[in-house]
Amino acid sequence: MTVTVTTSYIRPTLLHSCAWAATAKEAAFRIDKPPAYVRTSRVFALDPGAAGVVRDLAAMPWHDTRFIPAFDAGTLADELRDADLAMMIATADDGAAAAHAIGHACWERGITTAGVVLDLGGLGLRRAATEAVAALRPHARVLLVTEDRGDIVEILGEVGA
Amino acid sequence: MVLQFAWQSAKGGTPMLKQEINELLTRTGPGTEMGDLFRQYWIPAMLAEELPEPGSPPVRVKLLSERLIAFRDSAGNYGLIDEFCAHRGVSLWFGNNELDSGQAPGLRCAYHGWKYDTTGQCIEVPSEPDNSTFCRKVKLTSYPLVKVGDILWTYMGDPDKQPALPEYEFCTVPSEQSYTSKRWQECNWLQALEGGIDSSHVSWLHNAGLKNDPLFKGSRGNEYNLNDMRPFFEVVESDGGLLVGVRRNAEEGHYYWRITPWVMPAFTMVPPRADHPVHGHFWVPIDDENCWVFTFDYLPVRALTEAELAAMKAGHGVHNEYEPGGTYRPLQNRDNDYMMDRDAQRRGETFSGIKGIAMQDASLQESMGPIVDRSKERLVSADSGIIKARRKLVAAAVELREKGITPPGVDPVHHRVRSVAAVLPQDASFVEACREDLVATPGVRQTTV
Ligand code: FES
Ligand SMILES: [Fe+2]
Repeated sequence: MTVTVTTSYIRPTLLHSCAWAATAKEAAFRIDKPPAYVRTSRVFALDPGAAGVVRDLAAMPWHDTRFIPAFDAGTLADELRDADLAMMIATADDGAAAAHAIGHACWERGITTAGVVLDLGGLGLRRAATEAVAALRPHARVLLVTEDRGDIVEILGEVGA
Repeated sequence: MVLQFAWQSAKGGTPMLKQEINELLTRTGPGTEMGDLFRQYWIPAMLAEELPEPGSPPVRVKLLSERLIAFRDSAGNYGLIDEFCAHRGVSLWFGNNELDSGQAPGLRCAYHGWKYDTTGQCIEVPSEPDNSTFCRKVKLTSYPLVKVGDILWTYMGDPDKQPALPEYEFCTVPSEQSYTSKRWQECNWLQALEGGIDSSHVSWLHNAGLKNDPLFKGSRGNEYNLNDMRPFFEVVESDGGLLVGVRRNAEEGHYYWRITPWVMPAFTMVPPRADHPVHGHFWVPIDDENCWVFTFDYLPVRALTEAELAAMKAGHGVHNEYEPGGTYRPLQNRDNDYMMDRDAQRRGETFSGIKGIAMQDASLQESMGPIVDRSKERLVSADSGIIKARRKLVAAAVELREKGITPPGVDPVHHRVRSVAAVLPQDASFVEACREDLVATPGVRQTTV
């Protein structure tokens, strides 16, 4: 690989106006005010096992997040109004119909989908990673298979739920 | 969500602030939690080419915030010892690696002549009488330094817990099938590693490389990559860490999957393309604001061609060019704004204006600052692989400290992984369908598209 310095590269004259701005000293001048960021999230349980998890989550402090422990096709459109993230939680492989309905409604509305397959002990990670995931896969932009329900709290927290 | 509750489950129920998590994850000096974690593993210390022959000049090596000196004595033994002489603290880099066959092999301090062997044992104190045994009572801290493949590995932890040697495939295949380079990256190890787990940047930052680079081009997978810019992600735990699967639309009824294994703490592997060599990285902390990126390219079943090797040495693929002087500092670095080329950026030849895959990553990761402040990030659900990896690192560090549990990735069985690129039917699980392809099996070709 031959790297050539083109004429368009002009050597900067100030510390903050070149890549040296990455030093610790210059990092101190990063704007401290967090960027504006709001995420309106909905968290759906896809099966009875997941319903308990979703109810526990609902008891924690969140910004603009609603938790739906029992999927209801009749209220889906209302639930998704103004949402920009729908997370679906499965603990078994029988939530395919609900996943399909939610996934399709989100696709129509341009809402990001995420899926968590939570192995609560019965399923086994291998099976969780195959059967429950198969139900969720077509409808979740990102899918996490895990035994740790703390992962859900973490992802929701990180995405600003 | 109020962020300080987010990590409640990690540390015995005690809530951890995001700042605390960041500190825990990024500090690897002696006595730190992540430092203790790293000291459970064999890690790459340097390239074997840096100590090519018995009596080679000693090399300064800083790892996990400890300053060390590496040398190879006249008998060919490798040693990694405290950089500073026990007498008055002079750097042994000035020392004389004595080649005289009449003498015991060792490194002699340039100041007053104290001499050390490769285990750090002092073997001569010239100011003492000829028959003095004083020197036996002087020993510098030392760590084992062992050649496996093109790399000299070290283990900086408790000698009683030293694990079996690494078995990563890239360093166990015959040498003509593998090539490793290293480069200095001027930022914390974790933001570098996270780039190896974060597959969602590839379609953007590296898009031009897929078309033009001699070590990438011509793979059918590249077309899938470029035709579907909004991939789906699947993150699954493995015995040694994680498997991050990324799927894109392929032919009717099929998905194109790219599967990246992460083996804790710092090994990642890029999925293959066509018959090109398969590459990956080892991200090793120098100190908290610098890391070594060891970059390998290998093939499980055939030798690298001369053209491939020449391309790697010229800095193509995931390798890079260097500043003159043997410092392993990239030629494109922050002193020259990484040789930003706005014209190439405008013409679409590079996405960021920076040439080369490795420096595209390094320039952006260094721009985040020496240690990125993770409390200011705004992640999206597509970042779940990174979120999960951080959780696994914190959990492993805390469990090691509180319960003495050996972390994932220490057992060499966990090293025998491979990345995979495959086209699978839409209803197939990548974990199941690629179960065998994800294991490094001697004599079996990589699974690639
Ligand atoms: S778009 Fe990811 S860091 Fe800016
Ligand atoms: Fe990259």
